[in-house]
Amino acid sequence: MVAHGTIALVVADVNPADFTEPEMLTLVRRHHDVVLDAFRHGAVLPMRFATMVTDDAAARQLLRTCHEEASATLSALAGHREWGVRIRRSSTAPTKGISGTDYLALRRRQRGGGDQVHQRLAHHASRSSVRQPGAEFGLDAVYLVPESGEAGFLAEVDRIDEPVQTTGPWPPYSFSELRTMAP
Amino acid sequence: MTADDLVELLDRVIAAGVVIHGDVIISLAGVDLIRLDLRALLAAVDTVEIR
Repeated sequence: MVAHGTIALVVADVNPADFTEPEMLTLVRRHHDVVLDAFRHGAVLPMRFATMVTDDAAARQLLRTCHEEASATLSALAGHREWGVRIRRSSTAPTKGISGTDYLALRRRQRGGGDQVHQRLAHHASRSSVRQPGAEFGLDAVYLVPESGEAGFLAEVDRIDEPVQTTGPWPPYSFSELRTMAP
Repeated sequence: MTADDLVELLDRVIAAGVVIHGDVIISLAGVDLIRLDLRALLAAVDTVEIR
């Protein structure tokens, strides 16, 4: 670990040449295992896979540059876990032989149902993000839920009246960003 | 881990998380390589032994 002030970067020596298929899958899992391990001990801000710095001095430089924003973001993420919710569009609904107007109305209803579910779920979350608006899913969203609100969130998920796919809890991958050093 | 779980994992580890740019960062021949490899990984889901 490379520390600066109140934050630290978990680092490991890697060989960029190892980032090839099929070793990538192993490295992806290892990355996730390290994030999970840190997450068990406190708030984490996961880096995108394969983020590489030249050396420890560069890691410290990164921490110095991001310190203020990273500390604030970590405080905001503390005590939260990420959950993903997907509702597939009903495939049993007849789409053959119906008129264009009926089809659009059906799509609107499915979309509207997804929006309403999202509103109810987002009510239990500190932050949320709809991942693929209008794609193959009636709803495909991620929620940053305070641990104290998880029971309420999951109860709301149980009330969804459609086949729903839930994933989590995750470290806050989908809610991790730092504007200080963003592209 | 099911194929769906693996996709959820890849969605997060490879497609989310903090993206950092700057002099201190080593670029892996650009983001395109990562995207390319993600497709290869997804294609390999069926052939790789899933834990």
